[in-house]
Amino acid sequence: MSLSVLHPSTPAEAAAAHRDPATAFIAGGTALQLSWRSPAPALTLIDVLALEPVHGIALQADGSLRIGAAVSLETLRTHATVAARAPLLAMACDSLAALAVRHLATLGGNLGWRFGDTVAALLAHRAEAELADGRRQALSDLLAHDRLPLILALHLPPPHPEEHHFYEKVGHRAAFTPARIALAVAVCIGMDGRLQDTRIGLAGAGLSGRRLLHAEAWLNACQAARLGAADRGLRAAVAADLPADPASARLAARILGGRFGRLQAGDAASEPATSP
Amino acid sequence: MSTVRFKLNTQAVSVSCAPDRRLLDILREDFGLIAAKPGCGVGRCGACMVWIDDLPANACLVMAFRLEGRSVRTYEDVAADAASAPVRDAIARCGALQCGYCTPGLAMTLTHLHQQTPRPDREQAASLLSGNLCRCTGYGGIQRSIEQLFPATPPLSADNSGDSQ
Repeated sequence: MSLSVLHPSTPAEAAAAHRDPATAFIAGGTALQLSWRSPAPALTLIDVLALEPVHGIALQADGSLRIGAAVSLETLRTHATVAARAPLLAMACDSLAALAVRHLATLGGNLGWRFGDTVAALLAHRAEAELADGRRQALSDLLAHDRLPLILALHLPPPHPEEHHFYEKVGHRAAFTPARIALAVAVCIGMDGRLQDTRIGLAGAGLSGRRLLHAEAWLNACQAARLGAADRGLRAAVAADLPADPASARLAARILGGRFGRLQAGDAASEPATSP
Repeated sequence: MSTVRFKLNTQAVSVSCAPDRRLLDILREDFGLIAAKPGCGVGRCGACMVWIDDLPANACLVMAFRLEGRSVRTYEDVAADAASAPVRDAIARCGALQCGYCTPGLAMTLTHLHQQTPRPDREQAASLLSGNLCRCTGYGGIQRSIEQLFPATPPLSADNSGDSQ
């Protein structure tokens, strides 16, 4: 048996086909096929691009932004509404792959890979996944599944008007390599200069997408201006979030400490940065 | 085996093959179109660049089943089009090639960028070329061709509120 492709016409049909463990959803396929050795495995690909609900970017009546899972990474990178309503996602796509790969690759595919830069951004934006039956589930909960179900779209709540964002990707080269870590941060600063509602999404090589909940809790109620890159409390909190990877924890803590240390009220740190 | 029908340059074609066969192999082996070059095979080097529905794409990453109903243009067709003359001229004048292996892919990306409205500026164009690697030139000639083809200052903000797949 060689590789075959199914073309379901409805989400329900695609989800039903996926109950067979020898199947995989495919959209752009830019990452999926790189995991095969020739010849291709005995696998049935479930083509999701023909499904209508996986396309399009639209503002919803409740103010959230709905992004179809099949939207290309290049569309996300250059889309004015995404830049305004999901800035971390736009930043992530700006330092992800190259133009021609971004034309092929999709948000859902990057998410399904689990280690993709967009996952960090989606988590910091509190994204919810829209599933085949129309239900919505927090992406952070969904990522706990061993095998991700069909995701039709991502719903992102509107950012707080005073929210600051920063995104940083650290790789072995400036471009075109999987990130050691990608960090996406959304945070508000209260009238008293204290951090509030901090959300930190992280993904990277060998690090599936996750929120850094210990670090978030530690940072909330800190004075932004008093943080530094060597802050022991922050280092300990990030280490608790990444217990199996102390090197990445040190790296993440240095980035967070440095960025938060420079973050002053009224000084939005929203420039994407890719460190070589 | 399955049959896919698509437009290749100016012609409607059909190919019967395994669904995961690479577009790069179809072009070179079935149609003798060898401008797209096999390089890294994993979408990093850009030597196999084609346009699918007028957008640059790595032919090594596109499986046959994805071609149904699409339009594929290769450098053979783009190079024969007068619209690519400014890019071909810049590559030649600026010494933006040595062995030539990466040149068709590079020209495909440059031509796409040069035909965009608004045209990207030099910094944007250089960044958008990051998926086309060259092992000979040291990028000096390529940088000179970018300076010849693209404006020094950024264009007014381009609002892409369209949707793609």
